Amino acid sequence: MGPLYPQLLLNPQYNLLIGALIGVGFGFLLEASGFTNTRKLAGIFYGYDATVIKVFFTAALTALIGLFFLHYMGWIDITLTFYPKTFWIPTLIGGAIMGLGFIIGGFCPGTSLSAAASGKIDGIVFIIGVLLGIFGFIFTYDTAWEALRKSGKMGRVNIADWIGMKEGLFIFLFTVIAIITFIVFQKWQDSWKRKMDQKDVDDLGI
Amino acid sequence: MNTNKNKYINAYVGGFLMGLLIIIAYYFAGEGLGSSGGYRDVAIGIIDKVSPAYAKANSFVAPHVSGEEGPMQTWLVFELLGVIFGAIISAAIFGRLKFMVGKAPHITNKKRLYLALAGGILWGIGTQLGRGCTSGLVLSGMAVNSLSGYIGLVAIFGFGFIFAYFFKRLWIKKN
Amino acid sequence: MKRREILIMALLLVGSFITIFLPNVKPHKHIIGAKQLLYEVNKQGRYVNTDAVAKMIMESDPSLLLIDIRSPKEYAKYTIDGAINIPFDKILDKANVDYFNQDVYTTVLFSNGTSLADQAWLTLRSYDYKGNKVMKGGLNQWYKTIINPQKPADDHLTAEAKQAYLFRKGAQIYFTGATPVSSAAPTSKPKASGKPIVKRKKKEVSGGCG
Repeated sequence: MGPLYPQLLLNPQYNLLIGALIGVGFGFLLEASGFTNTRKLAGIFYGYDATVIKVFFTAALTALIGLFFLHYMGWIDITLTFYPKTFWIPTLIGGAIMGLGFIIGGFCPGTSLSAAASGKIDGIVFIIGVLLGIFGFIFTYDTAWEALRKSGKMGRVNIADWIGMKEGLFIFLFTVIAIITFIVFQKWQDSWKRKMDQKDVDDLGI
Repeated sequence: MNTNKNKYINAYVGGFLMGLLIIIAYYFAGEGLGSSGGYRDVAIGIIDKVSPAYAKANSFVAPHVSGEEGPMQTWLVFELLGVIFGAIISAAIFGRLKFMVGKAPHITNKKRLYLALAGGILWGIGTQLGRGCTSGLVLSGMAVNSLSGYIGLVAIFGFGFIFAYFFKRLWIKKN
Repeated sequence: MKRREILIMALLLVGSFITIFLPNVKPHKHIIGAKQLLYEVNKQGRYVNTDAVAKMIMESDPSLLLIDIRSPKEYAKYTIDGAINIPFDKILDKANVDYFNQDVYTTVLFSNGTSLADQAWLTLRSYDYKGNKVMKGGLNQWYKTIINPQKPADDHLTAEAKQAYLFRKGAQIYFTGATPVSSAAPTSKPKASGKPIVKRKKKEVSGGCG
């Protein structure tokens, strides 16, 4: 059974078509959840809007638990799917750069695309920025980045293995932590909401 | 009922559906939802069009242009094309389809656009160095319990909270 | 919290709680698709000829693992030097999986002809076991080419054929101990041949994948 395409059970053309359809769903959910509203995205860092953490962790947990079950039942082999290999140094440094970009630019690549599609000019400009950044990275890759990008190599590492914990237990603990996080951020958002102008509350849709 | 209020779907419902979408993506394509990888493929496609010789010489680009298919004919690029349509559909349904600049009210449009450009450039560099963005690296990585995804999560949001303190003025008006 | 929010939270909590009792993620045993099988059967990449096998044995190639898939009875009568015996009906036994599903050795399956080994290969391949090969022609071909090589007719003798024949004569000496001058072929089939063949100790594979 799954994953179909990596096991040659799915025609490449259909695979791309399904990719496009999944993209439609993804774009729809990003827009409908409010991820095209840059103020909502930045809100997570100041506590006035909890949407990002709610959507993000709920999506991750749903997929994590669902895939774990499907793997157990033999419907999909998640050892054959996309699995980001760990290079901890560049991911940590890159993550810091992305964190700064998030605060300054108010988007991430996926959200900027849906924002641009729905007419947000700042989203369009952000995309131009991302492409410029990638071009800059590529043109200076051989001299500036190659060694750093390949450093800290750990290969295919499962976080539960790394901690030395049973995978299921990790998933359960993560779920509990996520739900506590939801409650904390909800309280934080509520406390902001009480002192915010009605205009801002309407803009955020909270 | 205030008609100016933005209407968004419930965050948990949105997240739940997005999680199901990740499962579907893994089931059919074996791919997670990604974004920056698609941007990279587009950038590489442009470089390959402009100068195939340079594309073959650059050790970052070369592995992507050796195949028979064009560097832009990837799953992620098609997925991103879908994202554009999906966002348009949703914005049309909820009445948000119009040209505007999203920002905190006290920031000028010009300033917002410069900042968006700067932020985008940082993301361009950060994603290629860190091997993915919030969707491909963190969200899809967490979905399969990859350590890398959690490092990305801690780095992006951890540093995000630190930088947020210094750039508070960009989002919250001084009282 | 709204009702649907509580529902989703409850679903995640219950789901994640159940995962505590499930085993860690391990790769599945794969069943590969019919199309893929057809493609690989057509490709013929699984075959190695007897000369190649003989060469590997003579060079003591450490990656070679010969597996005789005939019955233990036939195996006891005659087999190729160094081969181990896993009868056809036992190839999917748990104890034998480590021989077929590993990436340390090149396993070469053989039977009397090609077909039984081929069937074994197909069975193993449908479980997505990789790296197994089939000795084309089996022991019959082994006898014809290595144990008792026929001198090709002189008028057709190309340089390559001559080379191959010389190699086979050399192999014959290696495997049978025949002297170079003696061109007399043994009259009996190898199975019945009484030639003393010193069997090497069985190679043990301690699970290539760990």
